[in-house]
Amino acid sequence: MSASNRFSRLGALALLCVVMSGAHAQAQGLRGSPRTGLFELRMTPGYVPAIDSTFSPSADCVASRPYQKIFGNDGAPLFQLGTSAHVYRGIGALSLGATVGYFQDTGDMVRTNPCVGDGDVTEEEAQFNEDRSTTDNTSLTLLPLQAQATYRFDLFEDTFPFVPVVRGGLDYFGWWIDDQDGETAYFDAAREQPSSGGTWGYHYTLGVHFLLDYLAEDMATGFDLDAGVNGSYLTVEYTVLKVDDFGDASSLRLGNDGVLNFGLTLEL
Amino acid sequence: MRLLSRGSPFGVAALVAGLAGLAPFAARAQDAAVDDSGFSVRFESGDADRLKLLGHAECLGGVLTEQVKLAVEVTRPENTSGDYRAVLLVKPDDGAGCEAADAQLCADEERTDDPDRCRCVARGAQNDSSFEVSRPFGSLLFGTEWSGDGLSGCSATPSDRTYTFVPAFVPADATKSAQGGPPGDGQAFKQTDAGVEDASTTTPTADVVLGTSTAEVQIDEVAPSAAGAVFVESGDRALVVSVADDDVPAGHNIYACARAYGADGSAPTLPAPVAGNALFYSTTQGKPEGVEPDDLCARSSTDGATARIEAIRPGASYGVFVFVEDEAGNFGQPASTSRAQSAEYLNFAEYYRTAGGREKGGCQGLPGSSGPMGLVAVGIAAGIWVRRRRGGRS
Repeated sequence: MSASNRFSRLGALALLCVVMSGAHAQAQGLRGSPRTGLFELRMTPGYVPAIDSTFSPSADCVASRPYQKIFGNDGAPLFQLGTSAHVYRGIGALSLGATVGYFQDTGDMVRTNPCVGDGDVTEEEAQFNEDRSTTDNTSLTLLPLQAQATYRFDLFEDTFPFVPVVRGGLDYFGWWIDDQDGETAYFDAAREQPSSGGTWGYHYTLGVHFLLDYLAEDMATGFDLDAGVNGSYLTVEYTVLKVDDFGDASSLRLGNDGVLNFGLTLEL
Repeated sequence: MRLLSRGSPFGVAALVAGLAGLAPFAARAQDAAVDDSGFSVRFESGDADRLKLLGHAECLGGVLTEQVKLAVEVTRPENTSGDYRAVLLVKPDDGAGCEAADAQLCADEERTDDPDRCRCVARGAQNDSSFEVSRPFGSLLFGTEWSGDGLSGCSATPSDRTYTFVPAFVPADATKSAQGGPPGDGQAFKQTDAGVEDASTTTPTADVVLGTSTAEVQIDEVAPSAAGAVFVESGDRALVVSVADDDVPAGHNIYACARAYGADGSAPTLPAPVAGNALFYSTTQGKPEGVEPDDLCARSSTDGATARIEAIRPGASYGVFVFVEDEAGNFGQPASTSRAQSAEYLNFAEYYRTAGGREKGGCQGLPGSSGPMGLVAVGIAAGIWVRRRRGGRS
């Protein structure tokens, strides 16, 4: 490649960058209302609390996996709604906020003999065998509350639409188990220990947010002018939740060692 | 057997009365203090879509259990003088049981002192054109009023009792006797006795102006159709009994019972259909005939085709039988299935504990906090910090 060609290519690239940055700077200028925080909606499909991880694994007896026995392996969606306020804007943005969520999984009640397998049936057969009630359901409901800090490296989002995100925070999961009548069940036959409570924990998250404004700049500009939304993002995050009262072996483990969640984030 | 009120809403009742030429009812002059000639008095009844007469085996010796609202409306002609009050008289019967009956209908101040008449008087306000009373008129009106001879659909025939039909209700059809005799399905009755009296009157008088009620009730003797197949599923110490939706028309429900097998494993004898599609009543209020004290029973919701019988012993065998109950409370012929079993099922909390879980429930607290309040406190502190930081900037 000759020097002149190299210079001409570099010149063209530089021109393209100038044009692109100019266009996005213009767009950024139009959607330039103050950036104060985030509003987020997230959904984790097939969330499975790690309750069974407190039990000794046994291939032949699903009693060692009560959650799997009752509710199966598919889990249920966990929905979360959150908001946060920027406390730092410079090299990226640091926000403090909170989320509230909802999760409910429902399954058939099962007979008293937990070890239906005796080594002769597969897990799938054991899960959905004839010992399941056809009329009575039981459910586990979670109300996750989170206080968290979020750092979003959005310095280059005007030229590169993917924003790396890191989160971490404190969790408190309210929970309850319902019986077939939709009322809170009891752990014990004497009905002195209602199956409801709350469990502490923490979480940390890695993720990436895709700036939708790149796909429809005019719409994004209008969204900012009309509603003060600076940016809209599709989000994909990987979260590790440790919700077991910080290692208390007697607590329900309601977290998960790693789940993907998807959502929408608006920067206001 | 049940009584159905027909046209019980006020407007419908008035329309029925008008069409029948029964209202308004011309008043008669009766008190010098009130020039009541030309007064018209009209009854209306309402808010009792269903009048239940219970105790079929006693051949209508039952009780109207639901409240009946009766209204008296007085129309005063022009150019009349004197203060008046609208009056509703209820005459339960003329002797035995009067006081007990009175106690159910009348407040003390409304009860008369006439031992032979046993009458309640409800009065409206002075010169008001109408008023309403709403009480359970049951035993007063239908307490012991029918002769038991010849009544259709009865499984027992009282022989030594004579029942007098309460004069507060008389047959709408004057050709039918108000003294005993079969009521017949669909027979209507009407309320009587309302009027006006001098407002200064302090004691009830018999010679008030009488009107005719538009209240109309019917006796329903038609048994609902029996259910077809009976389906039973096992619940947690329960049996869930259902029939086809088509077997339960609107307003109907099912009444299902389970009868345990004998200790020797013998199947119990279950109520069986009888000829003539007869009703299955019981002298025990609210239950079908043939239900025994040890039977475990449950009723579905209205329009429901499924009933859940609780307290079933896991592993034990039961015979199950089902009645369809119509909106008047009539039970049809039984349908049954021979053998059903329940099991003990565990909800997640019970199963978790059985599998060895140690969670005991309750809200765990961080050191120095109380349950979720700790997290809320963290959130509030963070919010305050953010606000102060922004305030400092501005």
